[in-house]
Amino acid sequence: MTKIVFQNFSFRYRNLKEPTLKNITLDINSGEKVLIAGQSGSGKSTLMHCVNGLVPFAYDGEISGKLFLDGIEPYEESLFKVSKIAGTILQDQDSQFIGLTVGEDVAFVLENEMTPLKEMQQKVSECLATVDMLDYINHSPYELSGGQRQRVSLAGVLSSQSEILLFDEPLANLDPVSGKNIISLIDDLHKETGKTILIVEHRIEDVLERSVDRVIVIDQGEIIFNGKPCELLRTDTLKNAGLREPLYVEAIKYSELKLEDDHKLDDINNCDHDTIKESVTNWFEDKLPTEEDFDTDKVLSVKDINFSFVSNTKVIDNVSFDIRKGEIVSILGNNGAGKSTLSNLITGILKPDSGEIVLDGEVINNLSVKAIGDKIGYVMQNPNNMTVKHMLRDEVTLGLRAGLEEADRFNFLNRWWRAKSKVCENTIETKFIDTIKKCKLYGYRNWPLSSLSYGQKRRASIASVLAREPRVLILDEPTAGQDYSNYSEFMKFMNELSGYGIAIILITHDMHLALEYTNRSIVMSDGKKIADDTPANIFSQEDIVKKANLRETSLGKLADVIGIENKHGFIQHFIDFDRERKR
Amino acid sequence: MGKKLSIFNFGTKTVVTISIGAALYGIIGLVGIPIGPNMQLRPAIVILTIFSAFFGPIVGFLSGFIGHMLTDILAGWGVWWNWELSSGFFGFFVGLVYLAKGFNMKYGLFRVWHIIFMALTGILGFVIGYCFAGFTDVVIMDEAPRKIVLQTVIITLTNSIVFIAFALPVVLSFLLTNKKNSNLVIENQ
Amino acid sequence: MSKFGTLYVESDSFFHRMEPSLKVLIFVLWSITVFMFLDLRVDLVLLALGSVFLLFSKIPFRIIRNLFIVVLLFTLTNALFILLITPEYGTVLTGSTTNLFYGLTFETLFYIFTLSLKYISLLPVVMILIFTTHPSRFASSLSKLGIPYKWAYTFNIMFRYIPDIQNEFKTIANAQAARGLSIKKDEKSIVKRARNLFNLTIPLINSALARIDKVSNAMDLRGFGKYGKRTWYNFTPMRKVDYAVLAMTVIIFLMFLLFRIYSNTRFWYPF
Ligand SMILES: Nc1ncnc2c1ncn2[C@@H]1O[C@H](COP(=O)(O)OP(=O)(O)OP(=O)(O)O)[C@@H](O)[C@H]1O
Ligand SMILES: Nc1ncnc2c1ncn2[C@@H]1O[C@H](COP(=O)(O)OP(=O)(O)OP(=O)(O)O)[C@@H](O)[C@H]1O
Ligand SMILES: [Mg+2]
Ligand SMILES: [Mg+2]
Repeated sequence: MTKIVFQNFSFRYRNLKEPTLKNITLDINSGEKVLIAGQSGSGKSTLMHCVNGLVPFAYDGEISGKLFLDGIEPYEESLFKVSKIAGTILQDQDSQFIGLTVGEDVAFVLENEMTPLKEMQQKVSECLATVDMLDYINHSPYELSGGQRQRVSLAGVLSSQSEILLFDEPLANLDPVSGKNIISLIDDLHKETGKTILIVEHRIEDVLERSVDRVIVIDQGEIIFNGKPCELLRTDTLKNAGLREPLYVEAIKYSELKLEDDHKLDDINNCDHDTIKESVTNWFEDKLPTEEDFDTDKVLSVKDINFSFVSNTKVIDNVSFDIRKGEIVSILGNNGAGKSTLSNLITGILKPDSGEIVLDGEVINNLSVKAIGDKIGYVMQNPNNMTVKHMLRDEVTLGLRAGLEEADRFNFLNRWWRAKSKVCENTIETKFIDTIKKCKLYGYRNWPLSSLSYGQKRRASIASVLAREPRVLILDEPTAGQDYSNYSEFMKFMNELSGYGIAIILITHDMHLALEYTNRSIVMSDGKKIADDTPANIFSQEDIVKKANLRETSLGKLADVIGIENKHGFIQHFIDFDRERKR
Repeated sequence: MGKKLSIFNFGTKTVVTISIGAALYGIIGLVGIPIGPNMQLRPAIVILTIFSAFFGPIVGFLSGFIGHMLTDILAGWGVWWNWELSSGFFGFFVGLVYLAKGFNMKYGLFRVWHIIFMALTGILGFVIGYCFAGFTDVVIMDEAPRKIVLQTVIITLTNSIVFIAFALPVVLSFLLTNKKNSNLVIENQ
Repeated sequence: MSKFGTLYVESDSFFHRMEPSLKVLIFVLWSITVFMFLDLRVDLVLLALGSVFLLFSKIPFRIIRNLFIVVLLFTLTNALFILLITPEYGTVLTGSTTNLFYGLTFETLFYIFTLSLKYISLLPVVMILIFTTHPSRFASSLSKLGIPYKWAYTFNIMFRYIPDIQNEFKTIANAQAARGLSIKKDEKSIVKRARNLFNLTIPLINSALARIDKVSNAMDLRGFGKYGKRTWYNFTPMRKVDYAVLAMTVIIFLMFLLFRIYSNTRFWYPF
């Protein structure tokens, strides 16, 4: 039976000229599990919103063509009727936690369905038990980590009994192990209940880890692929659409193996196929990795800092490290390890209980946020917290203006006559264009921020910090929710910046990013620094990997499966080869 | 284009708007830059003005009333419902512009007279709100009338100044940007 | 502040267990009683009663003391203003003049004393309402008073987002300060500081507007407002004690009402 049917369906947001979804024709069968992939801004969330009724009931616009959901046309019905059929986990985790406590939040659907109290309490406990969160039933959302909140929202849709479940980026901001757990949870749910499940996700590799019936790839509002994952992985569709293929697939393809139908690439355990083994082993030239050595001056030193929010539970426990000029360092660690807190300490937003932070030989812990901000740029985890202005242009230039006014303060006459404006405006404009070109937002320079997709907003907030030309740049999960082409462009850009001597600290849950782009990783767990080494060395230390919820990438797994001993060398070979390719 | 929700529509969105409006007004009510004895520049007025203009007099009234109650409670002053109602009155009166033909915050539609209308109703809102609060203070709390008159005049004046000098320009900036938020195309040249 | 961002103090007392809507009712009737009189005797009775309540409520003494200090300061400045602006008001009320010194009359002092006690006697029930009512129970309880659930739910959402908005305010202020736009003392020019402060309202409003959309979408998607009624996860039935308290409250209120009707002047001045 077909559950969701799109026939020649198009949708245009009221304030856009062009339609965001174009001529979508698509059937999804009852009980299917489907992954939807596509670049940031390609219209994935919009597609979801068409299914769950938010388009057109909450987002105004023009629909043409037809869409059937269980035989009804959602846009002709009410949102309530649609919500009974389709349950959604939205892209934004924070705002969908409605209840004051975990229990209340899960009960929300049941309350609205007028479920009697006894039955409700029982169901809530059941749903929470399914996602392993029963112990947290009376906790408020502030006491939960990102992964735990994700679980609660999962329990929330479980209690709704809807036939279709929509997940919009359920893994964003989760550490690798929590991400894996959520994917298993969704998969178990699918197997047990036979519901129809649609998952939108940039972390394709993670989703494919559990079997998926079908993958749909969207590019600029059109479907460019619709079929089985193993077919998809054999072709170059993902790459051409600017998306990241699973790493092991990339490696197999680099080995120039001619892919046949019996290569089932969607399951890494099937990669022990003889031809794959042979081809990849041939491709891999076993050689000792060359240690890059870094011996430049240090810019930033963190010395023995301690911090706690409430007395006697240390969130940062005696952490010290140095950051050198032009270095790219990643900070890894599980959800709640203290990574964001650490960056808040460095940028002066929080003050350490003890210890010192030294920038360019000057102790900065006692400076104000503003004074530190002149030298250390900080891009926070949530882009919405960073934006003050309505328009992209004003937002990016705001910090510049503040800086220039400061410099101009003594130039009394100029200021009086406003003669500076021309010169000033010109420098500002060139800097602005420069920055947004770097951040791939040039085409949107006259847009209001409210009409950008989440990924675009992230880049906007980075642009606004970059425009101030900091010495050290701290980015809190800059690539979360970004597609591969943006991601690699962006990282290339980070490389350029580091070439100018800007030190970059990246907080990330993406293991391959750490491996590919950073010279050094600092691993945090429970507020302590548990490792400070090259990423490759870190991944070979099992206890550290385990403690910080890290995971080796699928490259390591591939090496295991086909029996390559020197995992390290294999990964390094892949990275070198990849770099060569992209040049 | 330009259709607005009836102010008597009490759907989910209205519920959420009132609560978030009240929470925001209530919390921002706690901050202010002191500019003289017993006088503060309170950015909260900006917030209430925008919410009223966006969503109309009823939302304005309730956000103002509940939000001010929240400020008083969080600051540890207890509940002073008549002064809290004065915020409600102000929210109600600046929100009247929502009903005017051709005015729409969301789509940035307005004429100059809408802004003048807002300025007048806003000040009227303060006058009525604070007169009400002062009057009830005299009648039920048995405050001394002359003292209350003086207080009312001062508070009406300072708040009106903040309203004209800060809140209206922000309204205008919202209107102007929302106007630009249409027919967007990606310009790659 | 508690984890809910409100002032609720976790504890277990007679008032913590009491039905929240009943506390609202007591608060309203108490206030009306205070408003009906300018009578030192009534104020003293209420204050005594209120103090007993506070003893039972297990609100930490530190909190009570702080609040009393605030209100005391308020009444003192208020008194000062009255003395400065209308020193003869006591005479206007009573018709007699007992000069103490420099135009200060005994009547006015007595009036100010009564008025101050009137303010203070409002305090205990407010404190009980605020400090002993768990936010989760508040909305479901309001709906018992016959308030439609959508209206009642406003309070739930408000309590849910107060801490979020507080954090957001701090984060935005910091993010802006890091970009050179500070609202703290390190910005020397007060004009700029004010401008930056007012500038902050824009992202707050924007994010509030976005949040309204997201939250109402999330609620709609989960069927809020589907039917005319809903059940409550935090529902607690009225207990026998609650009915008893309700009856007591009404009786006491009626007694005050009768007293008001039979006493002929509003301002009680025995001299
Ligand atoms: N509320 C809106 N109003 C106007 N345009 C919008 C709105 N939401 C999204 N768009 C536009 O529609 C396009 C598709 O957005 P959508 O959110 O569906 O992308 P997405 O594929 O989910 O991207 P991401 O991976 O970044 O979440 C974007 O170019 C965006 O600018
Ligand atoms: N404002 C706060 N008050 C109290 N505790 C907090 C606060 N902010 C964070 N924490 C706690 O401090 C710890 C570290 O939080 P932090 O946000 O630094 O984690 P993180 O490593 O950035 O995690 P994630 O990867 O999920 O972003 C967590 O246990 C968290 O619960
Ligand atoms: Mg999206
Ligand atoms: Mg973090």
